[in-house]
Amino acid sequence: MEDQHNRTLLQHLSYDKQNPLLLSLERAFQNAADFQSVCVGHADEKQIYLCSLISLGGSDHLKFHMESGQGEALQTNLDSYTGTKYTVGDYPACEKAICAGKTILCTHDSSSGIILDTENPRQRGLQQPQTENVIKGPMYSFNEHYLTNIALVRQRMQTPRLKIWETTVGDITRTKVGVLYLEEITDPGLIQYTCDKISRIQTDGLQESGEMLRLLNPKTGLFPAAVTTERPDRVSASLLNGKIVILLDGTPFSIIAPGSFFDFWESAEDQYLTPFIAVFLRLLRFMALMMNLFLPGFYVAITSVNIDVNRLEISLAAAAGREGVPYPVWIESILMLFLLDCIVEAGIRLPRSISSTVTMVGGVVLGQAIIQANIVSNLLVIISATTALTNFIVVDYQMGLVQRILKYFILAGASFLGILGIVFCFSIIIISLSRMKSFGISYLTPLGPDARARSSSLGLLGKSHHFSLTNWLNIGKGELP
Amino acid sequence: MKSSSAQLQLSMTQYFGLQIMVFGAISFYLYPYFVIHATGHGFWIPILIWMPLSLAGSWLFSRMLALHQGEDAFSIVKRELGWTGIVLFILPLIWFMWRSMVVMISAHMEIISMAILPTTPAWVIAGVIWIAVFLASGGIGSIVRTGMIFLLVSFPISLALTLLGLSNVEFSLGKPWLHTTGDFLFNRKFYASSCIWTGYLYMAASGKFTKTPGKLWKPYIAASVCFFPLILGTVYLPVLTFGAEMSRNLTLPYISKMDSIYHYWLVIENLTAVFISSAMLYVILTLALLLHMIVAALRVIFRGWNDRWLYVIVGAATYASTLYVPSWDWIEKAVEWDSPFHLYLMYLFPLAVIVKSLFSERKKSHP
Amino acid sequence: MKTRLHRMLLLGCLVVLTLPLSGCWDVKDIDNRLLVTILGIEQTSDEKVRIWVRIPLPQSKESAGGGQGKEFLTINQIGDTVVDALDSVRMKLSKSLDLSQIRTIFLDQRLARKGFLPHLEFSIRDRMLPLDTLVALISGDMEMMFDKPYPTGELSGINTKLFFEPYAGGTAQKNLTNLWEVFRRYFNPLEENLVPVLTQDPVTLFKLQGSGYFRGDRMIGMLSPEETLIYEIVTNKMVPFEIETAQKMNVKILKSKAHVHAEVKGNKPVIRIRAKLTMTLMDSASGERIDPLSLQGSINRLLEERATRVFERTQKEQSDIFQLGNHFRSLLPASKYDQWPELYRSASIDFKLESRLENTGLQIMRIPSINPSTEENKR
Repeated sequence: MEDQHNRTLLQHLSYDKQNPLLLSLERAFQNAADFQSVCVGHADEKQIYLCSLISLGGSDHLKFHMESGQGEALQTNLDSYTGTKYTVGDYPACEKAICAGKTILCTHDSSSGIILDTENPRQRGLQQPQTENVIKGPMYSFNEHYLTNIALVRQRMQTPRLKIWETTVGDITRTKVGVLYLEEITDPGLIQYTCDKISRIQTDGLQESGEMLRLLNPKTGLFPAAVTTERPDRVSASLLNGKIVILLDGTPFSIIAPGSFFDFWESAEDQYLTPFIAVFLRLLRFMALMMNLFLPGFYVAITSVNIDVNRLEISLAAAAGREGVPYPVWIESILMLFLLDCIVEAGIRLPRSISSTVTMVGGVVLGQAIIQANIVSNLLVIISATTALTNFIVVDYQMGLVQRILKYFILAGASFLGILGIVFCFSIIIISLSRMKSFGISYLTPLGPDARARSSSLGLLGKSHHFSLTNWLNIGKGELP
Repeated sequence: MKSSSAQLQLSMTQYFGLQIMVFGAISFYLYPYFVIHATGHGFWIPILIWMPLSLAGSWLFSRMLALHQGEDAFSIVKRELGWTGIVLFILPLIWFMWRSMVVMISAHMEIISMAILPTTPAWVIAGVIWIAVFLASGGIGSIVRTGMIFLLVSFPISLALTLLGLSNVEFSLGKPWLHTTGDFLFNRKFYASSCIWTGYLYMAASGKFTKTPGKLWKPYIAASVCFFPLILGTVYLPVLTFGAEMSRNLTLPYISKMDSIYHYWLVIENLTAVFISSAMLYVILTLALLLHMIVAALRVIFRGWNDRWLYVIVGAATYASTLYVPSWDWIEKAVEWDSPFHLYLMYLFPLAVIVKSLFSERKKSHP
Repeated sequence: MKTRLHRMLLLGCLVVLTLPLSGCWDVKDIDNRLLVTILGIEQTSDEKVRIWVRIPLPQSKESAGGGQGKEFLTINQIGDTVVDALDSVRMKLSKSLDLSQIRTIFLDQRLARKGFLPHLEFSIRDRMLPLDTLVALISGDMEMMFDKPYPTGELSGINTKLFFEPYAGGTAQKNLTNLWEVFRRYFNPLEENLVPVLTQDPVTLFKLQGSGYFRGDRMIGMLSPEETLIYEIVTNKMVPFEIETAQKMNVKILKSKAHVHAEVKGNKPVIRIRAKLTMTLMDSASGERIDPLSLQGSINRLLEERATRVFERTQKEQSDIFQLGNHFRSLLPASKYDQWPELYRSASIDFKLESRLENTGLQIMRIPSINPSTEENKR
């Protein structure tokens, strides 16, 4: 580096004898093995130091120059820096910057430092979405890097109206959080509400968007408060639809807020297919939901309480299947469902190559053996297999987990009061859904007061290019504000 | 988005849905019995007479609510009539609502124990009141949202059951269609049958959540027109299948009618269970509405009480009193005894408030 | 955070508490119930009631493969009333007796002649039986109906039901009668019951003998299956059915539509019934040429004569099984409904049939040299 230049650069630094920056930084990063402060040269009798976390900051941006200095020893001097414009910061700013992978340039007695953008983020490349597979549609997904994710959204929405409000959450992790919305489309009240809530979060750290959702909506209980997605296309569709998107550093899953129970049955793909097919698919998912929730309960109800609801032939077949089974129907069912949930869970957690074996062993061998051992009836095996199968039709993983729990709840009701118990459990579930709010908005959104009102300023409502349940099921939308 | 402090608004569609749910909860159990016993033939005449009468009542009621937009009926009464109003109207209204809850729960309890769960004790089934308390404590927004979902589930079921009920119907059993002797006018059961037309009174507390309470009679009319075929069905399906003579000998003609339906292609053998399932949804919602109303009324009298505790207390009181209902006969008699009472509330109550407010306004303009 | 944990704990406790509760009251597993499919009621000589119940025993795959297990269980029991007898049956059984799946009730004919009401009243009061249960009368020994296995296999309740149901073995002559119909016609003064009568058959276990007609709750006579056809035509319950004419030809009745015109002339009911039949030719035994007009005429004559006979008989016995009285609901004051049986006796009934042969079916053209008709053959 030329002296002339060097001097002007160093003029930005301020000096305060009391708090030399270098010392403070060294104290702060004491015992952090990857912290490095090296002297890279002299200027005006001052030693110039570079401080950074070598694990984060790449030295690609800095070029060093080696020369023989006074005496015979070789000296390494900072030669040039390539990167964005540097900024000057005091101690707290420098500390944050180092944690973010930047490099601080300072003299040994300066109280502020020059922050050089040298971070080298570790991220994986763009891959196919892991949880939301589509057959037809964009094939890439978000990754764990915040800026990459923003870039992916920006690429899809090339408009200045896409606004991003940024903050950090977590006293220790300082996770970067961005709230994305489209100006003039998204309800300003909603943006206000969300940003307000986010800035009021008090927590040490934040790892994933699911955690964030719970912090934002503590009262939702069992149900996920909003859809999380790793698909940029779904994000931009939601933005166009007047929703806001919360992106988190360190996770590929973004939050689409506010959520409604019905959103969980929409797949990203639905909008790319013809409406009839989409309606059919949604109907299929809805039927699967119903079967998954009610089938085990219904089985218990018709085999132990309300015998006369089904045909005599089925009753006799059920009785024949249960011949020699020593346990009551409800214990038998809980046993089987629990076993099946175990198999599913085992299949998910294991490496792919083993998981198929587990499924094989669990499903076929255990299923066959358990019937022959007269522990459960064969009708129940059909029921539980159907239940497991229908659970996988659920688009959203979080909701699938919720369903798994709820089916036990309904089973308990059914084994208690039969069909009536199922009705009671159903109404309790509906009531708790109706009491929930996601980001201040009714969780049953197309229904009821406090439903999400879409802004009509863009004429989106009229054009209805977006195929959603909201457009179809516009009952009781309430008056627009 | 509405901020949470702003008054929640209900649309007319939502009021319509609530009214349908109320109709569903009150018109299936005792109504056919009353109408069939009120007259020998031409049952549609006593059914139809009450409909326009109740429309007039609902119009009066909505006029009364329109006196002070954004307030419920109880505050309006208190404002217009003071403590006299509370004694004359609010206390009877609370009594009426409490009575309807007790009758509704115990009637459905009887139906359930007769039809699907013969040995389950009453105290278990009466537990439905706690589900309603859970719902009501979520506030009117929660009630309305639940109501919409329940409506989507149970109304199609009721409709389908009515259509299915058309099997085995013989129209010659309904004769004579036009002839009537007017004998029902002297029958107490005819007046008791007006109990299903009190639906608009159930909106006494929720009527404040609209900007135009004067129009509240419209959703009531729409709901009663939509529900009218089902009401006709509750009376006529048993009559046209079993004949009036046998229907009179049945405690629950409509339930028996459901029991008699058999089709080869019908997957479910026992339609009674389906009917009861849908009826319970209506009942849960209407109970919640009633609870919400009673609590709103109590709050006018006792200001500053905790909502949550009021719900629990009212729920517990209702739960306890349903367990003291001695028999099915008592339920029938209770509705009969209450009929002058609810007629008084249907007409005299809104009329008195409106007249009072007219007088006081005249006084203001001509001091 | 702490409150949520507490709430979760509370919820968990509730769930745990409810689990032992199930198993109470109405919770009875299906394998612990015996589903009765047929209930037979007959009267013993000493004025007591003997009931028969037939219970299909579930056959699981494994047990069926090994020992040839019994397919059904039949129990009979004498008691003062039906309910009493059922209670006594319960005392014998290791599993719960479940009446909610009864498909058929067999009533002994002798019992029906004395009046069925005291024996069936329990069903409507208790709501133990489904109201769509079929009712049939049995002439002869009840034991034969319950002791033998069905030739088409068990699931016996279904078997008896299928015998009558139009979607299976039901024909126009098998007059399907539900429990609720029996009660309706009993309570309604303007109509009377017509209940099918079954009798034993060595191969198929039972066969149709006719239909018993009632006055009040007492059976007073029986119509033959052919005569039951008139009932089906008048009440518009016809299902496609074949009949044989005098000329040895089989025609199939496809549709039938009857119109009843009722009026009161000078205290006397006048009933005119106009029925239209649409038919198709099924078989001509003699292989003669078919003249549609004469065929129609002969069908009309056949059925009209049969109808006149049936009307005369039922009028004499004051049993309006054709539900003609319902047409007089608007013509008679309600107070006179109870006198309908007498009025029916004095009623003048005019039955006119109008049949139409829709097609004669596919016919093999007769060419004398190739396939001469049977008569020519003999010559």
